[in-house]
Amino acid sequence: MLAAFAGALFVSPAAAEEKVRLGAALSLTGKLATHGKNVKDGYDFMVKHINARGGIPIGGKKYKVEIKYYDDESNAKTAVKLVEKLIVEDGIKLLLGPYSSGVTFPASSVAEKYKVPMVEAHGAATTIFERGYKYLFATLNTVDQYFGNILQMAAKLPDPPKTIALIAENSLFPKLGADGAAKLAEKLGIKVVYHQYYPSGTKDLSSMLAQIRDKNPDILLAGGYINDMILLTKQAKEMGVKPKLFGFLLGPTVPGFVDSLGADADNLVEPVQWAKSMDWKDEVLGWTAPQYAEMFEKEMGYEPDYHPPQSSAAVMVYYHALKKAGTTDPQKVRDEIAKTNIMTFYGPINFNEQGKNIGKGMAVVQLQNGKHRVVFPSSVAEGKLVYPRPYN
Amino acid sequence: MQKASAPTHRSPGTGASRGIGRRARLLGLLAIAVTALGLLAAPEILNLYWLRILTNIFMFAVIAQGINIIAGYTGYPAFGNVVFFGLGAYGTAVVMVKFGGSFPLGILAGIGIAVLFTIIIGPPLLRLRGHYFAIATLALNEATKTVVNNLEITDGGMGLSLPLPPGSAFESAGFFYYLYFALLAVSILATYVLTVSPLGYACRAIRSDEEAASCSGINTTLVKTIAWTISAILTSIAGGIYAYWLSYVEPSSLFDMTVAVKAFVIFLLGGAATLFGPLVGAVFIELITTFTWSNLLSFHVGTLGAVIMAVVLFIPNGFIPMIKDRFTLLMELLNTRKRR
Amino acid sequence: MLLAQVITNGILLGGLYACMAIGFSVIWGVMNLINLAHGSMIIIGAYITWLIATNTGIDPFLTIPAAGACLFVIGYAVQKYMINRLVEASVFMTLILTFGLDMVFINTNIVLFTADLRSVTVPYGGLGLQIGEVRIPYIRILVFAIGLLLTFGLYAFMTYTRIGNAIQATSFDKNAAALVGVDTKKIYAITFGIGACMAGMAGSLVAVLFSFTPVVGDSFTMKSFVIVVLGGLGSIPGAIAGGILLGVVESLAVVVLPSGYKDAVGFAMLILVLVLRPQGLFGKKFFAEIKG
Repeated sequence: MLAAFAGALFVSPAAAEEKVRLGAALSLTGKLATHGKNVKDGYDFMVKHINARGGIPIGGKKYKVEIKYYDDESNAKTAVKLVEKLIVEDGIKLLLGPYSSGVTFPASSVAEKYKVPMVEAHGAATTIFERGYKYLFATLNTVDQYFGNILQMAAKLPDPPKTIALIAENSLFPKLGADGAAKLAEKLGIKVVYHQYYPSGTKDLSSMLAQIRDKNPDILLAGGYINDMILLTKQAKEMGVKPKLFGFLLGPTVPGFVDSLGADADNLVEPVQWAKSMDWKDEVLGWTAPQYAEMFEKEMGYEPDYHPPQSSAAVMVYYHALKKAGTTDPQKVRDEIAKTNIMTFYGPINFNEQGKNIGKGMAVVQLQNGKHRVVFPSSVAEGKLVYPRPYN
Repeated sequence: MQKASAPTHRSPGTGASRGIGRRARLLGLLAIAVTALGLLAAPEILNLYWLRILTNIFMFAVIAQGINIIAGYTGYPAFGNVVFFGLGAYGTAVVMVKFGGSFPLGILAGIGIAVLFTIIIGPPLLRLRGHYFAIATLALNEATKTVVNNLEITDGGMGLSLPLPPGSAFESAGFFYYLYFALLAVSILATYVLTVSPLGYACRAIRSDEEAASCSGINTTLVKTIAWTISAILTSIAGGIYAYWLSYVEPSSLFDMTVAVKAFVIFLLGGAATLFGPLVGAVFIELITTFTWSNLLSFHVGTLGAVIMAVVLFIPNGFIPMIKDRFTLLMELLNTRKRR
Repeated sequence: MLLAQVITNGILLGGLYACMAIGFSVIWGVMNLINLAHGSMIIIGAYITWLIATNTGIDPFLTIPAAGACLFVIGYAVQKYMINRLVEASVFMTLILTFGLDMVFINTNIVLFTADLRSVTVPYGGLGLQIGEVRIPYIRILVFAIGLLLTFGLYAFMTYTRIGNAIQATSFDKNAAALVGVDTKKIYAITFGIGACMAGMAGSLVAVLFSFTPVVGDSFTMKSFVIVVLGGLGSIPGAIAGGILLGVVESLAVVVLPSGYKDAVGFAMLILVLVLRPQGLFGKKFFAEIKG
């Protein structure tokens, strides 16, 4: 901290400002816009603080960071065109990822074709990493660990649940999540009584939920993005679906979920990539997770779920790689990214040869009285899981 | 019915003013040849970004040309023609990813599926006219999208990732550019051959008055189906190339109603039942799309919508007939002067 | 029994569907105009309800007239100043024009309201009747009842008022109507306004029952298509029948087929009806021929 302050003093105002430009196609409008905004806030927040300290030290000079954004309208095809625009027209050779597996999947192919590194923070589908790509890296954990954590938590309960129903959107991330959960449930001896997908953009899930109610599962796991999950929660209540454990691939901790549902959101569980109660401490900035959360809330106006710090962490990956490489040359930066082994406010980041972050794990959070509390694993738990979920 | 285009359509080889026609036609051919040569050289001159824009233009021109054949020349507004684009793309993707086939084999598979579609679904659907046919094709597109979304072999909503084309980014950009350019040339040629062939006359007869055409001995069902099949083949090849180009397929971006409408607007804008209409329309719309994208980020959708509305309100017959009219007027003026 | 629940869900949903489709049907039946911006108009109605309900706490059902009135004005203006210019409108021109309009509406909504998800909750949201094994939430009953009420209201308007009769006359034969003194241009504007008004009110219902963003209107347009074709163009009882039929078939499809095929079922029905009986259940046969 002091060193950065001193560094700022010594930078002469007359010196030309060096800039390093990152680029990202993001879902600023469209179905995923709510998530896209959180991601952008995460990127911007990080850039602001890095620049406040003078920027990234690269080869003896300090470079301010600038991110060029384009709106992909939550549309994979558009994102592909935009990523190419960033590379070819805007000359940006260091990319941040878009939002969602469905968009990251094709967008990363463009980066790979042009041999430009992409550090993504929001494409968790395992298939993204199974193509032998060398230029793709992800800060987040892959989708198999999402429901995996919830199921492992469930299996450890004193009176473990016996049946499970799975409902998910028919798109990359939710489908893989539900498929993975079905396989793991069978292994853990939990019977899968319902396993169906709904088409993207469905407005009415009541018939499916009626079927689920009929099967009376102990666990209900739902996969999809925030719009659908709010709809599902509402309609589950209408249909009288009352699982003992009600989990979501994502939803409860995303800003807006609790606002839309109020008390109906209580005691829902969700696997999280990060929680503000974790005791990570960033090796460069010295921030801890709670400090990140506090500063973010003050500046952005809302409490962050794991999406913003996950995005910020991607920027930090570039920070470290650029510093180590001493140059902005994409090939050299890419090589340094591959060697990443750092600790951030988001947790440890260490990429394997597929580009996955194998340094960190996930946790499970439960909404208790409108607040997120980590309930699993026990090493990081802040509270106890409320099980079974109470219904009045 | 195509009331709008009937009066402006000029069939080749007719017209009292043959002299003007020949000169205009020679000039036209020269212009086309020069443009074609220029386009062939483009990859050497342009940067990758503009190359991609041109490639997109060619692709949309092909899709619009497909629509032109069934809607412009035959009078059946296939609003959902994009279904063949999606089928072609998926044919290629499935063959390459699930069966390890080569790219040409994938294209053939796409063509095969498209032809199967038109042969089986064509005759019943082509019994409908106007509005109803348009909606039925839209419904066909949506229904196909849903089916593809749920099949095992397509990995449904998860999409398929195709193997990356070999070579550097620049080499593959050039590859796809030439591929689409060739496809565009083929589609224009095919349309030309159609117009001078008996099949083409039959199509136009059907468009003007289907009952009369039928009475004069034309097997309307056969003719319509063949026309739609040709349209489907061209569109499906465009789709197959697209899958390889993008390296990714997913039902909602391929069987996309926005693409369907955009292609239809391009077809209308250029001028229905004209050879180069679709290309002209594609140039205009793609350039606008690109411009609004770069500069009017938050309102680019609305701007494109406003442009589309303006086109329909003020240039309802399309560019080429408009240019033809002005050009003919000019030629007539010149000729009248000369005679004096 | 699951079947009873599912069918009940379908019927209740049908009331909303009928209300959604009726505006679309009227515009198409009278003016031979397929309004692809229909779904966006529904969404605008939803936003109006959302705005009023979240800022004043009024029960969203009471905002229905406001949504209807706003959309009437918008629809009237759109027809009078834009669509009217398309003199000899071929079917594709109007399709394209309304699609362009749809894009403008969507973008405007995004700019005004952001693309965030919206929905209106009411305190009695989760409550409902329990009849045997079947659970009927109050909201759905209300939506069903109001949806049908609005639809019948339109029917009464068309049958028993002078303007309504003028509209019907214009749809049967534009020239004859003009001959007996009907101002056809004004009638068209009013008709479009009414269609938009119905869409807006359906939107209020949507805001309560579902959640929405600016871009979800297109799926409502597609559903309206299916319903109108099923029920028969230009027929209000047809829209009701078509709406309920679609609602029931969709709900049943979920039980019988893998859930993914839910939407495909509606389209399959659409194609079947078009090929086998294009006038739908209640449409008049000659409509199908003239309008084609």
